[in-house]
Amino acid sequence: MTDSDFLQQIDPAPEPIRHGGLSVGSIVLITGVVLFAAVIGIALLRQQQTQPTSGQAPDFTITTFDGQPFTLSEQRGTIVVVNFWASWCAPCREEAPLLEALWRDYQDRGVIVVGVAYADLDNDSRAFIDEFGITYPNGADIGTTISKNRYHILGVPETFIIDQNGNIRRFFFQLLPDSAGGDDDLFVKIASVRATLDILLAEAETL
Amino acid sequence: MINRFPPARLRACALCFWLLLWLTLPAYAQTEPITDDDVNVLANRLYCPVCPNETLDACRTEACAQWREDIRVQLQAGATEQQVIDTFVARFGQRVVGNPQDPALRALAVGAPILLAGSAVIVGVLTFARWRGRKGIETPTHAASSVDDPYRTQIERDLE
Amino acid sequence: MISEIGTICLILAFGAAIYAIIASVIGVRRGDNRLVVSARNAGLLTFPLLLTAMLLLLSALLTQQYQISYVWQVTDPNTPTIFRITALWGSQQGSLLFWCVLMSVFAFVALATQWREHRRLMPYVNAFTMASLAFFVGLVLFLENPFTRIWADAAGNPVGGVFQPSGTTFVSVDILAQSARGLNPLLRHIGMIIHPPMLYLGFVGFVIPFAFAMAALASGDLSSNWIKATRRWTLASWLFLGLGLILGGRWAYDVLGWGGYWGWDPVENAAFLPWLIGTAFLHSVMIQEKRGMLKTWNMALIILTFSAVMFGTFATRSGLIESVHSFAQSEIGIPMFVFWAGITLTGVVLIVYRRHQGHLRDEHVFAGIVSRESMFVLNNVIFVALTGAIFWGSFGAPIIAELTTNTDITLGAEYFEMVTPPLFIAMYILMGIAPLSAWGAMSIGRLGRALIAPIAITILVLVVLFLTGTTQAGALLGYGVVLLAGVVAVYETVRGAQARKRKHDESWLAAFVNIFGRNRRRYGGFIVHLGITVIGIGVIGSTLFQQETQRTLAVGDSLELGGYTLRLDTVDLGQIADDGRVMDIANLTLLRDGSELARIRPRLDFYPQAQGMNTMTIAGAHSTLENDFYVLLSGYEQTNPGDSTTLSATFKVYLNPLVNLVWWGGIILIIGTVISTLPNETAPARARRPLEARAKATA
Repeated sequence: MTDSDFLQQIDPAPEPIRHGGLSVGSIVLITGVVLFAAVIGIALLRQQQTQPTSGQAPDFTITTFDGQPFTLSEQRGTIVVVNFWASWCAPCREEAPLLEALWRDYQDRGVIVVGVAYADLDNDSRAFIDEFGITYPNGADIGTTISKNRYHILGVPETFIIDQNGNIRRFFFQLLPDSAGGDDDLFVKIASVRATLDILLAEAETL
Repeated sequence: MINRFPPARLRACALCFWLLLWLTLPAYAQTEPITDDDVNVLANRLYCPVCPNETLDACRTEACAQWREDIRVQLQAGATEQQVIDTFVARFGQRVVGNPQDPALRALAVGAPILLAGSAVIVGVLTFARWRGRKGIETPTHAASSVDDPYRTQIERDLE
Repeated sequence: MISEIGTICLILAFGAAIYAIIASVIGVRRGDNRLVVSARNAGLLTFPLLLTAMLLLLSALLTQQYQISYVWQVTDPNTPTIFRITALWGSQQGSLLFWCVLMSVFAFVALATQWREHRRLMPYVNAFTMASLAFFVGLVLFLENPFTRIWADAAGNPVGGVFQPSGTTFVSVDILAQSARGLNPLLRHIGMIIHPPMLYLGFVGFVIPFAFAMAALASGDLSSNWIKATRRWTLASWLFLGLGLILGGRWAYDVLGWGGYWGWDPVENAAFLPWLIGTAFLHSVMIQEKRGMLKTWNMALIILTFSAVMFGTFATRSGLIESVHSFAQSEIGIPMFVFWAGITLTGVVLIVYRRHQGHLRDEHVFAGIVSRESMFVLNNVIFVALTGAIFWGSFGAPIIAELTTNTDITLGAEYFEMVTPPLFIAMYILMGIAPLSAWGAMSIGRLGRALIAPIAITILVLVVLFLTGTTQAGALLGYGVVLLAGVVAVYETVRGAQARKRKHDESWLAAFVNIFGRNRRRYGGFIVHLGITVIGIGVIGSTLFQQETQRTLAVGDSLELGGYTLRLDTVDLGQIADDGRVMDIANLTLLRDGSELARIRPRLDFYPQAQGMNTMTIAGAHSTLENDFYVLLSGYEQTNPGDSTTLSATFKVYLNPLVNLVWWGGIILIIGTVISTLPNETAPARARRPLEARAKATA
């Protein structure tokens, strides 16, 4: 240090007193910090969970707008196309006719299309359904638990294709590639929903 | 002889008449149009369910415009502010209000800081009590000058 | 070329930082000076390397090299040059690199200018600074490299990589230019040119005081040397952080269009927390310098400040909590969490270790409850409590609620405006009383007597306010405590000048100039307190007395708010600006008592090529010191296109009283802090002249 620093420095502290082990307070403090960090870490891991793309599809039960209950796990033996949508979502309006056409073509072949309305009020949802003449079952996700906590969707529309054993086989993020507005990405070509369904149905027949 | 209602009965009828009139007043309130400001008072307290951390009146998306319309419709139909809020919470979850409605969550949100503040005050009081009990109190310095350190004042005086 | 050289610079910088850490530690352990100096050189070297990398990225942005995926992400062929430059910090990779460059600048300055004076601490300072730098450069190099390029594989799908992966081909710049994303419209504003750099300067600046504190703990030199070394660093970082926050508020007010400037958004709060703890630290170190007390507090505060900085940047960049400010979900969340947890735990363990050894003992005793030392302890407690409350509201409660009950909750303005005012009131009261207290014990009577004049002045002003219409108890209480703090600051300054004037028989002006010259820290501090007072008045006025309304007007209609009349004159639709955006501008006239005051032109900007959020609502306002008349164009409808008589537009109008005091208070804050940082004039110039004359006479 410089001379002026030496002259200016405060007298050093008195002889340090050595104790035995760490005091209770110190242990509590360090434990507290560790716990705090652990909680943040767990929160981070949970927040980073993304949409499931394989394995058993999370089960859910909704009440359709016609008043019927619909439970996913009761649909074993049928392929289920789960579509998350909302009346305020512009791309969903483009998808709706496609899904309805899909439903009409495939419903006798062992495929069921179900729509889950995310963050939507009932009257708005019903108006949407009437506007597009949708006939497949639709229900509201009350409290957004199914969408957010089980399927971890980022927004709408998102579509999951679940096979006859309840496993997720395909996941479509945002607009279905079959639609006119399709591809958002540069060069990517995604197999369409119909192609996927055909493959899954063919698989079932060979078994 | 003129047939008159006895005064008591007349008063009773008048009361009934006024009562009926008051009961119909809410219906009159419905026919007054709900202004944008009425909607915004409520929209200010609610958060957009799908946008991160934006109040419903600040949010510019189509979805929020639709939800503000829904609020207007509900208010027009005679719902109170609390009823509208309850509908939104039931459909979209606790995240749409700035302070949770659910009592357990509210206790968590508001209770914890209060508990912490309380324990901090207790710790502070105990610490000061400990200092009082410890070594004697130094005599107060004489300096009432506006300069901090008495030594510095001395040195400055010497330098001038 | 650019990608390769840029990445090599990053690799070299990373290597240099790692070497600096290892060589410093081994050099100090072994007492080998050459290793320590070599480590210093490595540390100095990181700055030119990272600067080169940044300049290369900047040149890529300016010359439109769209193969580099960062350039493709944040610019497009229509981006104006100024925004090409600011795009450097427009997205994750670029802003991380910018952060690294700033950190290396500060390390360079510290290593270059403070090496000799603090020779014992500097090797450790080097090690800790380089540890932080190595982490961030590592993040950039391995996870978020801005020099990654776009290649195409056989199927035509895009593949990313710095060096060309096998089996891929070059993609033509023209094809990429067509699909380039361009800068988010929200970021195309002058506020975004300064707000992030200011914030980063503030955040990153705290690395140096933190490194010095850790150096003191690691080396065992626990005198106030580390504090003296870092005083200016702390002040500068604190100033930049405060400026960054105020500028962020100003930008939100001007551009985001919701009539306010602070939304209590989690990311805003995450930047506010280090500022709060930093303020406590700034004040608390004075006690250690003057009386050798609060050593543990000071260590804890600086480590908490830096931990808050790291937590803030971690929470923002990892998307821990949803916020309007969040970057997209990324993979750097877990590494950043590990780093934050690591440095926090290391700091805490070191403090506990040294305290256990007895090194952090107070050198004097607390003289009494009413003493300056106690006030500073109370100050620390209030700021830590504020930090805790705001942290709880933004992060703690939502996280705990989500973990235990699986429900998402939002704690918004409602919550914060309930929890923070009592603490802010306590803070302002303390700001008023503490400057009048003395070191050591002081009787309450003496303190009371010192307060008589300031309180009297404050009450006088409150009476005037009451008589001119401000009658709400809450407002009067708020104004009262805020004004007291400001009055005390001004009062003490005037008394100081008065004392000097009497002693030296100078004019008032000379007296003021001289006290500011002789004790810059104290009187600069009073100016800062005055700035905080002015901001406080602005905040109270614009929060408690804000009026708003929303109306749909046809051409020629007017609305009324707060004694003003606003009349819609015309609406210009479809105006095209230089950068391709389409503007719908409303022309309104503001009147008061029949006389025209101003023209107000709020507008809607539409960016046709932008992704996501492509409409901006830009407010028009008439600003005076008294209030802001603030108008937003929410939307319009024209039932018969081309016929302006069928046009109706919806306006959201706010009357924000005193809001401009917030910005003016910020300017006063800057002036005060700058004065505080400048060194004092040592001896008065006059005294030296007789000595010189005598020396000349005898020569």
